Amino acid sequence: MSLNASMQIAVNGLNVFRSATAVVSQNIANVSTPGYTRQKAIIETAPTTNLSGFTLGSGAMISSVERFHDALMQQQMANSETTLGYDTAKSMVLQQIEPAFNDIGTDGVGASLAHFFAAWQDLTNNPGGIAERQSVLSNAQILADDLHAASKTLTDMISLQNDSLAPVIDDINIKLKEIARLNQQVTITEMVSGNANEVKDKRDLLLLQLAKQIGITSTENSDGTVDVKLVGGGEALVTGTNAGTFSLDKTTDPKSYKVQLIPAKGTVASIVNPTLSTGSLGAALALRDTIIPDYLTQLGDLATTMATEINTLHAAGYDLNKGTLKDFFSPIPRTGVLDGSTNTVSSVDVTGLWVGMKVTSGTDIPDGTVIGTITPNPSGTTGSFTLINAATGLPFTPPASPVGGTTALTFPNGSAAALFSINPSMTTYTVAASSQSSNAGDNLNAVAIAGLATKRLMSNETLTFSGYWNALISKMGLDVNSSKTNVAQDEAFNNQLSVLKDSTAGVSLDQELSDMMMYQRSYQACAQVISTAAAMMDMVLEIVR
Amino acid sequence: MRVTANMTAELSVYNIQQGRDRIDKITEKLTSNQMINRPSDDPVSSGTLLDVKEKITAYEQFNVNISKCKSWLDVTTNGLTGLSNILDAIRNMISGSSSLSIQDPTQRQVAHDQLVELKKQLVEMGNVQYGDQYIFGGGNNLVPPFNQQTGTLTDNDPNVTGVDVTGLSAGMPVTGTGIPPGSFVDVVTANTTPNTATGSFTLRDVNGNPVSATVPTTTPPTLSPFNSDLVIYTGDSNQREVEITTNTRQAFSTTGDRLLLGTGSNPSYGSTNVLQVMDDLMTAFGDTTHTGDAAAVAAAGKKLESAAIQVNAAITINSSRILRVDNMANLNDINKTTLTTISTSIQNVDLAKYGMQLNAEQTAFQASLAATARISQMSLLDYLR
Repeated sequence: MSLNASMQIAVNGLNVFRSATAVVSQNIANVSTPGYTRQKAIIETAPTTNLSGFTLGSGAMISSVERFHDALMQQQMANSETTLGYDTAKSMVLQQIEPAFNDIGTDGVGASLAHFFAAWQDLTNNPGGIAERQSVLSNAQILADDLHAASKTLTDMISLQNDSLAPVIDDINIKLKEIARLNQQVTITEMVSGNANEVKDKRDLLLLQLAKQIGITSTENSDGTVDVKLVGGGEALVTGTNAGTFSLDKTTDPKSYKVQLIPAKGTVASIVNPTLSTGSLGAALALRDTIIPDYLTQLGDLATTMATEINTLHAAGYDLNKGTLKDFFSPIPRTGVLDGSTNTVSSVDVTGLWVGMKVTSGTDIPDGTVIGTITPNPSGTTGSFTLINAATGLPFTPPASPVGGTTALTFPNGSAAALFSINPSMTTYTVAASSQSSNAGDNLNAVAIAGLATKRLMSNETLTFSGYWNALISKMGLDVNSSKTNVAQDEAFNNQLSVLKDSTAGVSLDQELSDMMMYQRSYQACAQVISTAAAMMDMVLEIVR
Repeated sequence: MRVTANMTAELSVYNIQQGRDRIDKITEKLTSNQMINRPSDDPVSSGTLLDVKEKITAYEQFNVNISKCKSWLDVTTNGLTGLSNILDAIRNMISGSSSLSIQDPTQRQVAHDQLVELKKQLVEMGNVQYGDQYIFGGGNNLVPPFNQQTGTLTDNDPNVTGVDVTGLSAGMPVTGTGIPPGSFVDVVTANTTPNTATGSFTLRDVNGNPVSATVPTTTPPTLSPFNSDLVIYTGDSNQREVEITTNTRQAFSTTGDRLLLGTGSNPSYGSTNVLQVMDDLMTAFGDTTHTGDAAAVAAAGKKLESAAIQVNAAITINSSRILRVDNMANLNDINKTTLTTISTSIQNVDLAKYGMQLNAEQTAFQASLAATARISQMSLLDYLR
């Protein structure tokens, strides 16, 4: 039993406490690093040795640096982030749409609807009056403009959600690649018995950020890598060191991209749209495909029913020229005359149409045809447009024997509100207020049209036009309100989880500082042992001299 | 539970955020002075608000309708009063004449001329306008309802010639000396020269059978063909309607056919053809060349009584319409006020209540800020040498 043993043990101790202090300083330096989990040096006694018949310890050693990581908490936080991501995205978008439907704050479709029917009421008082007729036309135009504005807000938002898919997909792909790379780093580091804690922290943080965008499940393998799968379909996003890739199919329908995935270790891209219903990506898809088109359809129903009902009554009346049978609003669906040789549809009101808009008509104009160029309505009459094949961009080939004549054109669902417009050939003289062909001073037709304001024609004959519009606004208000509540709840829950996680994994400066003081004193004590052992050795050497 | 400084910081930030949010909401209410600024603030109440707003607009429109209707009714009252006065003048004239004056040719001519003038006034009153609409024209009120002109009749012949047929069409009632009562225009032949009295038409009865003109019985007899002062009614019997409150329509025109021709129903003012009576009266009085018929004058005088009653009936019904729309205007105002009260009660911000709440929230917020500042300053580092 020599003094060397003591010295050796003390030096061991110095090393241990120096390393422990390094771990503490690592913790302190990273106190504000997002995603950092605290580490602790686990000090154990070093293996015992047999010395001169005595079993003696050989000091302390750091067996491992433990990382305070809770896998269950990680998964729970990921789920919470996903829900929060979905609800936040949805709430933001709905709040952006709401002002276009805020009839409480400003005058919108509701007010212009009331003024339109009021103008017809004024016309009943003086059916021959030009001023009253002009008022009817002006108010009709304001109503059409308001419907267009509301419709445009919705269609613009749909495009925005569609366009926003590309950067989100790119971002997700970058994250997947990075997670795969970090997986590789972990395996390499652990192969050389290194400490991959920081890498794992980075990886966990990335997983949480990814979870905000899409719902994922992650499982840690025994070799330290993490496998990431999509929630719902279970497609592999990251397997070991291989990452999957998301992409967008932009050609099938340029207005509605489809999300495709080449899974990790796979080669074939398959569409995953339907299963992506969580996270901010899921929200963008839901908004683009379901939520906003729903509002658009309801708006379109209102426009269509109004146009149809008013046209029916108007066509039965007579105008100041004792003429008959004119549509007040351009009919929905629009009609036009197809000319196969020039690929043109003419005698059609082109108000509200845009280049690239899908159009079909029975067997004459098949699916996949879009509008090429538009020739606007010269004032007071109808215009025309050409047709091209959406996939090839070439003029579309008409069927061998087209039906010909005036055909009903079908435009995409939800475009009814944008297509709502006054018949271009309508003038003050052609407003049909009278119900008698011989008598322009009669007002019964105007009375009938004014009476539509209180007739229940919407929603299976339970609501008037204004009632339907008000119901739509209320529903939207309810949706926005509930989405705000959801976001508040999600944030509170997320916050609680975050606090809980911090409780186990967060760095407590008080604890680290007191640990540091403890290690410092221990270090001092070991150093004291060394100097005492050295002094004892000196004494022995004194004896020898 | 182990608590770290970061946890405290996170919680503080979260709660400060919540505090700001609450203050924000109250501030919005106070500055906009409205409880509900967007549908999502309170979806259920905003549904009520919008509904109420719509109804208020409707009541405002109804009252606009009523005021326009009332102006029309007032002008009608003036017209009817004028007609009544003319009829009174005629009756005075009849009662003032005696059997002696009928025997004197000069006096007969004077009476005849007066009657011609009074008939013209009657027709003018019938053609009174409100703006550019003719009040008594019914639905067809863009042209004068009573078209007065001279035409040539032939005994036992359904043709009426020498008339300007612009604006005339089949089915229009015709009155005049020599024209059988209850006659209508049948087939119209256009003017050979536009807008001149060069056209003609034939007569028919209510069943569509042709009728012929008959020369009036006078002493000495009137020769055929003879000129007749015709009045053709170009209006119709459509009493225009206007909506005065929800799903309630009010008819407001007094039509010329009910008023002066005694036809039509719902309401019917009477069955006297006033113009016919005028014609009979003129024939009965005679003139310088033709003798008078005192009995016929008396008979016509009796019919004139009925005519006066007829016009009075029209005045009464018109007045009752005025009463009804006035009443309805009041009701609409009351309803509008009630709805406005509902709307204000939903939207009104109790400034005192929310002012106090803002105060309280502010204090709480300041406390949370102070506490955060104080706690985040505490650290073990301050105490380590």
